[in-house]
Amino acid sequence: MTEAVIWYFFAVVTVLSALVVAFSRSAMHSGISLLFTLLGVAALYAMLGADFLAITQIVVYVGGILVLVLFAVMMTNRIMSTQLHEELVQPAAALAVAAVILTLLLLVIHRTAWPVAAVEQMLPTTAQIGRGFLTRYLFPFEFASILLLVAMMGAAMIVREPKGKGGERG
Amino acid sequence: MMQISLVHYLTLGAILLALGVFIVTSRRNAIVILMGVELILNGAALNFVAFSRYVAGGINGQMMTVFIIVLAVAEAAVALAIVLAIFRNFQTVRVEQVDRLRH
Repeated sequence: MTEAVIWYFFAVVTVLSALVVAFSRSAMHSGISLLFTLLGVAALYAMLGADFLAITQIVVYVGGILVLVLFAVMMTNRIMSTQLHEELVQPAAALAVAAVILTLLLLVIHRTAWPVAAVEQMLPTTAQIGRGFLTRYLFPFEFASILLLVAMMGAAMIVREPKGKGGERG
Repeated sequence: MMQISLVHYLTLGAILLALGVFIVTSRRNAIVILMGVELILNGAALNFVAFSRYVAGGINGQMMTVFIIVLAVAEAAVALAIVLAIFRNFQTVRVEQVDRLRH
């Protein structure tokens, strides 16, 4: 009972803030609202017994990606911009596509007889995940490190000012 | 209804995914489109964790979510770098105004 109340609270927070992300006309409001969506998902991870993932979600998404996104929003927001509110591109068509996808998914979810196993007791998962990284998931782990290195170098290359043009743009 | 089950989590993941698709198809600001992609990835990751708890057991689903988060970081870094480069060349982040390959 208590668990259900807490679950619905976080679910409502997640969905409502995701709705604000989708329908707010200001990129800044969308970014701030995304914060609550990500925190709500982190809380749901915690309720699923994934303690390590909940913390990772907060540290990486809220501390890293969201800060980066808000930074980009502020950098690309022109003070002299005349168009304060952006219009949506064909909102009816987009809504129809999203509604069709949602309907199909909900039909599948509610009609499938999921082979639900007995729910295990919640245990700390960090040690298991660390062991998994160094045993069964060693190759994806190393691959992910190379991917992050390449992405970092690529991002640095892309945002670099072209030579000879750095001065005039200040 | 009062017992939280797998279906609850899957429904929530589907809602997040549908909202993400709506954002990606309807918004013009490239950064907001990136936020939509993050919503889609979060919906998928939530499904992995839910299946890991209710169906598969163990931590294999959680490992997948760790890698999804890693991919999201790499994607966000590169995509935001591209957005900033576009803004430097076009002075806009509206995707419909960026229609030239060469500036």
